[in-house]
Parts: sequence; structure tokens; C-alpha cells
Amino acid sequence: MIAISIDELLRPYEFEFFRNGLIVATVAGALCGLIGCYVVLRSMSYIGHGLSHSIFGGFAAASLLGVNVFLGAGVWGLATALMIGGITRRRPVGSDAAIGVVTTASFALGLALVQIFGTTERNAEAALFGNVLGVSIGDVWLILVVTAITVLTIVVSYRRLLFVTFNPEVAEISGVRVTLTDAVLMLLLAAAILVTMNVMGVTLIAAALVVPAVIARLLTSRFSTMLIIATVIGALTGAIGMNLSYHLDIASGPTIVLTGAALFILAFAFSGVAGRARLRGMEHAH
Amino acid sequence: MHAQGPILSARGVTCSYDGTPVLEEVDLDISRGDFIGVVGPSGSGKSTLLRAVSGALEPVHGTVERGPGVSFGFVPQLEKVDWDFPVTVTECVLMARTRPLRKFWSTRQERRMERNKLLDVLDRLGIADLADRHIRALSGGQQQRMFLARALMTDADVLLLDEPTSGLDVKTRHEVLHLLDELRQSGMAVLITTHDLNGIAAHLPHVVCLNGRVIGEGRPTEVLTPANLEATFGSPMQVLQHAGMPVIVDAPTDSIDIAS
Repeated sequence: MIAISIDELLRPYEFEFFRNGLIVATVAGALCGLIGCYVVLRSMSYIGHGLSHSIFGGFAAASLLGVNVFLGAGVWGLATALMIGGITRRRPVGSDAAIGVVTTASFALGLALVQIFGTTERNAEAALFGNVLGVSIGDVWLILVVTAITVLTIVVSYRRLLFVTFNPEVAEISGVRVTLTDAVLMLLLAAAILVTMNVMGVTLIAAALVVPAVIARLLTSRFSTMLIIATVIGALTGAIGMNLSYHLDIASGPTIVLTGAALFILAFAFSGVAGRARLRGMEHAH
Repeated sequence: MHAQGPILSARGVTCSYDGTPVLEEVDLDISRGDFIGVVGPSGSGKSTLLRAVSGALEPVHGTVERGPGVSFGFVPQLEKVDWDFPVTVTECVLMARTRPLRKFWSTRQERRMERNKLLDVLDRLGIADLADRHIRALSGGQQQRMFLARALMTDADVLLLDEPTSGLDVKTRHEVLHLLDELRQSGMAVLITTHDLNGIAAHLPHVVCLNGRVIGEGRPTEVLTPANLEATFGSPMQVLQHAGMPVIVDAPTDSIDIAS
């Protein structure tokens, strides 16, 4: 057993980059956990995965053109999100293939641009795998604003979002504007991926979206409780993962995902037969 | 007790998916207190008709006129619902009561009124003690009642039900029909789709035979005729009379030897 002193544990908190990174990782975890509930319950895991890869294309193009990375990747991400939403609506069957082509091509374009024009190597790596060193105070504010907007939107449209997630056809007949609600959800998802990119890396964001929601589903059958648990689990995963990242000297993305996986195993072990039954119910949703 | 005249009037409604017409030239009037059953085989446009009258689907031709403020409650087929979705009965019943976007918060009084209304509706449908259960813990009849409660919570004027009795046993089917009749008497209009001719359609006051277009419409005794049924289902049927009600049986032209 390796003995680690309290001093040693608190050491990273002396550094501003770590404090910023910790705030962003914690808030990003909470944000992804919250949005992830909708992603998982609407069987959009693949869309989340694809969208995060696609945004990397925008990131590379923006850094190449010297445009603000968030702005470039943001516009790219929102456009892709709306396009994916459109494809899914028009082609409910087989839309995953179309989404696969669009998002993978965008990701490949990003990789090609980075290789040909050699954008700042560290930025590209941070975007791919997550790197706490890339986090500035501006990033902290950005993620706080996006999280505030997301929470506000979910509070105000709570029932509308739930209705559209549970019974889209019924919601439409009952007078809910399903297309608009879907678009809002896709935009929130794109924004969450964008501000999380630096900490998690685009290749691992899907895990931050899916794992807390799945853990929450193991523990409850009530929607409102699921949102709260997933948000808390996401925040915990981010915070614990960041600390581990520093001490183990491994990139923040992998440590956060591995922390989430460890929490999932714990929850799976302790939630018993009831939890497993709840989880089995999710299988067909993917 | 019911307002005169239709609250919904569909004229020459034609709907298509990807250029293929599913409904053609359908006329339909719905008034308060109506209880209308739409019968037809799979793919005859029954579900499309429900979507068209509610406004969820725009017809390519024709018009659907709805009275001012007429709202719709929809009860989906139980088989089409994701019963593993994490919602409790209360969450499910309340989700259709969406707030207008401009109204951020509800007041304490509004919340109390909503809570009272919820308890009233659940009590009226006999599922008050199940309010905190997960939706999967309910029986088929209780699940049906939960969706009815959801429609009642929005004060829907027209209740649309897609195959409300499929998958239910005979006793539960009767309970659901009686419940729908009570709602109809309280002034709602009820429009259901069904392929159950004897169990449902023959008991309703008004039946529409649909197969892309309206084959016949009126009282079951007038509409459920061998000619209309063959035109609707594409298969010959005989209509017998039992206690003043039509009883429909298959009339295969060739005998089918299952054993061979």
C-alpha cells in the first residue's frame, strides 16, 4: 500500500491550472451527466459519440484559419447537430449509417488538417484525449454559462423534454412542438460537448454522457431522481478523475472515464437484483 | 347537455407518406359526446387519421377545421410504449401538462391546484394508490387508466385512442370501454381505432370502416355489413345477429386444411 500524505493530496490545489481544471472537470461531469440522461433514454448514445468526433473537424479547421477555436468548433458542431437531427427525423430507420458517414468524415477531415498543416500539437492532443493544462479562466466561465443555460432550459421545459423523450408521437399529437424540442436538445448536447472537449477529449466524451446516466438508472426508476443522481455522479467522476489524473500523471480524459467505470462497477455490485432488472430494461434502448 | 355542432370537421382529407397516399378523401365530423370507432386492417390509415385530425400531420389535400381551443389527448397502443422508461405514474400523468414557455414558474396556488386535480383524476380512475409506482408495476388495465389520466389532466376535448383494448383480457376490455363511455357522457369526444369487430366495434354508437378511404359510416347495425366488411378487410365475412347486435364471422371461400 502506498502511503500518501494529506499534504501530497492537496498539493495540486496550489496550482491555478489545476484549480481551473478541477472546476471545469467537475462542472463538465455534472453537465454531461444531466444531458446524458436524455441522450441515453432517447437512444442517442451513438449520436453523442458521432457529434463529439465531428466537432473535432470544426476544431481543426478553426485553429487552422486562426479563428477562435470555440467559435469555429461551435458553429461546426451546431450545424452538424442540426443536420443529424434532420437525418434522424427524415430517416428513422438506417439513420445511424448516414450519421456515421457525416461524423466520421468530419473527424477524419480534422485529423488530416492537423497532420497537413500541423496546428499546435498540444491543442490537437488536448482536443482528442483531454488535457487539463489547456484550461484557462475563460474556459471556466464558458462552461459555467453553458451549464447555467442548460439547467435553466431543462427546468423551464422539464415536462416538455420528458414527454418528447418518453412518447414523441403522443407528445406531437398532444400539441408539443417535437421538432423544436428535439433541436433544442441537440443544441444543448453540442454545446455540452464543445465546452467539455478540452477536459475529456472528443474521443471519450461519449463515456461522460453515458456512464453517469446508466449508473443513475441502476439506482432509480424515477425520472427526476435519475437526473439528480446522474448530475451528482458526473460531478463526482469529474472531480475524482481530475485528482487521479494529477497523481497518476495520466491525461484527464482517461482517468475521468475510468473513474466512471469504477463507480459503475460499484453501483452494479451494490444495486442488487432490482438494479440489474432496471438496467436490463435499457438494453433494447440502444 | 352537449354543445351543438361538430368541434372538429375533416373534409376531403388526403395524407401521404413519401408520395404514397395512406388516406384519401376522408370526411369526418366529431362532436362532444361522440364515441366513434374506426375499424380497418393494418395499414388502412387508422393511426394516420388520428394524427391528421389532431394536427400532428398536415394533410396534402383537404382541410381539418377544429373549433377554437379544441385540445387533444392521445392514448398510445400499450405495445408501443417503452415500459422500462424510468417514470412513475405521477410523472407520466403530469408530463402532458406543459407550461407555456413564457411562463417560467408556477405559483404555489397553481401547484396546489394541480396536486388536487391530480389526486382527483387518479382517484376517479381508481389508480390513486399507485401514484408513486413505476409504470411497469401496473397491470394492462391500470396502464390504460394512467394514460387516460394523463389526457384528463390536460382537459382534452377530444380523446384519441390507438387500439386501446389490444392486449387486454375481456374483463379489462369491458372496464376500459365503460370508462370511455363515462368520459363521453361527461362531454368529451372519444375516437378510437380498433380491429376488434365483435369485442369493440359492435358495441359502439358510431363506426367508421376505413381502408385508405371511408367505406361506410354510421351505426354498427347499418355499417357492419358483409359488403362493407369485405371492402374494408379484403376478405369475405358473414354477419350474424345475436341479441340485436351484429356478430361478424370469417367466411372463407375455400376450406383451409391446416393439417396438410
